[in-house]
Amino acid sequence: MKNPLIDKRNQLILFLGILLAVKMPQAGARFALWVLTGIIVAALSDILIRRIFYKQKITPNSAIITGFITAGIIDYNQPFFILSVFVLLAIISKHIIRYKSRHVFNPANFALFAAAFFRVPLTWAIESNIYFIIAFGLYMAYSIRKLPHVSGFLILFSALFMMQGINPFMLISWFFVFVMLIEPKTSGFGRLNGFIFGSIAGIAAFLVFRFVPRYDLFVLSLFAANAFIPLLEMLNKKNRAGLPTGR
Amino acid sequence: MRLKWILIMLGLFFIGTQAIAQMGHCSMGTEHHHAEISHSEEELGTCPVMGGAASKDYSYTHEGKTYYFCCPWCIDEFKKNPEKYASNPNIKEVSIEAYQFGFSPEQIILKKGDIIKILAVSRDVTHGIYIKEYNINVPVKKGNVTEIEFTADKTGEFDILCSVYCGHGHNSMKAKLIVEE
Repeated sequence: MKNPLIDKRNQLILFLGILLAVKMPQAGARFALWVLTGIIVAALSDILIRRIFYKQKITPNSAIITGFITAGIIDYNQPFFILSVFVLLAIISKHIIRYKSRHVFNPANFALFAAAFFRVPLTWAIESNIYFIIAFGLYMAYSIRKLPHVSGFLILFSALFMMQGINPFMLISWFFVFVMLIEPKTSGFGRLNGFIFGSIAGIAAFLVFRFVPRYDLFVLSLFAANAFIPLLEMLNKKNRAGLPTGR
Repeated sequence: MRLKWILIMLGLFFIGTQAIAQMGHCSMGTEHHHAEISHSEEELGTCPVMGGAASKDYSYTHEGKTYYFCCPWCIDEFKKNPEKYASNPNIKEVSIEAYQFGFSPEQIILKKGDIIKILAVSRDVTHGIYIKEYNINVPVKKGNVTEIEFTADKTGEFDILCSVYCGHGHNSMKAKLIVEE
């Protein structure tokens, strides 16, 4: 039997589980129940949508991650139905907003964007141990080839905040950088595209912080960067088509 | 192999930077505490803008009455709109400062029926004041005083949380609003 931990998605689920366990003594049982609700709603809705509309049977690893992240970031003192609505929205967005048979927006981030729009507080309770997040995140970004995304984001984010006299490392969310930003399907492919994607997110995060600070800078910045992906892919294709057929 | 070493070095760099940033932050917190003590030694009442301890160094006379403030910035704020800050005996003013990563004071105690004006400021970056039970969710920008007015009509202990991401300790920012009978 194949070792389930070879799959990067399962590694991420295990990692998120550890972050949840670290937070538990401080947050209490409600947080665990909250996250579990998010996972169940996400997994069940994805299974149902796939079965009804695509006649597919799936193991809902991606949906579990979506549920985990959404529930881990939305304030866990909110009513459970609010979580269910936003998790459902995340899964639906994955099946509706598509470009070339791939979803455009990171589903969890899409739900968080909607939550922020409706003034639901985002407390990022899942970000329980940054040292662990950095260590695991570097490994993950390296193994799924997303280091250019991370570099692009960190360079632009740090430079712009330092120019304002703000220490970027006191404000940065490592969970965002190493878990959300590098989501494989919605962050663009290739070194250059990845770097540009990260840079767009870094610039957008700064602009949100500077001009609309009431909104979550990371959620909005990823939403903006995701929106650029179709354009990046089109430009990439154009460039490749315009290249001289080498001799 | 070389890439793995670069990766390990990068990891150590990020962790080191984070640790240094936190150490710097801790020492900043100590300085602030000392500043608060020196202000409270001067018994001139409270600043009408911020609600903190006033100092004799910062005063302004408006309609024959001298007001004392905690900093020059509050004088400017008062001059912009003196009617707003001139005392109203029916409203209790409470000041709260948000910082990375906590609130000062950590507890606000009120009586049921009190009309409250919370004057919220930020020491460093933008924070949020979120009290679920009172349906309060407002951003608090650095350099601004955010006023939150409400009637304390529900008794109990309520969490005051930060609703705007402000760094890795954002999820541990908490204060208590206690409304007694």
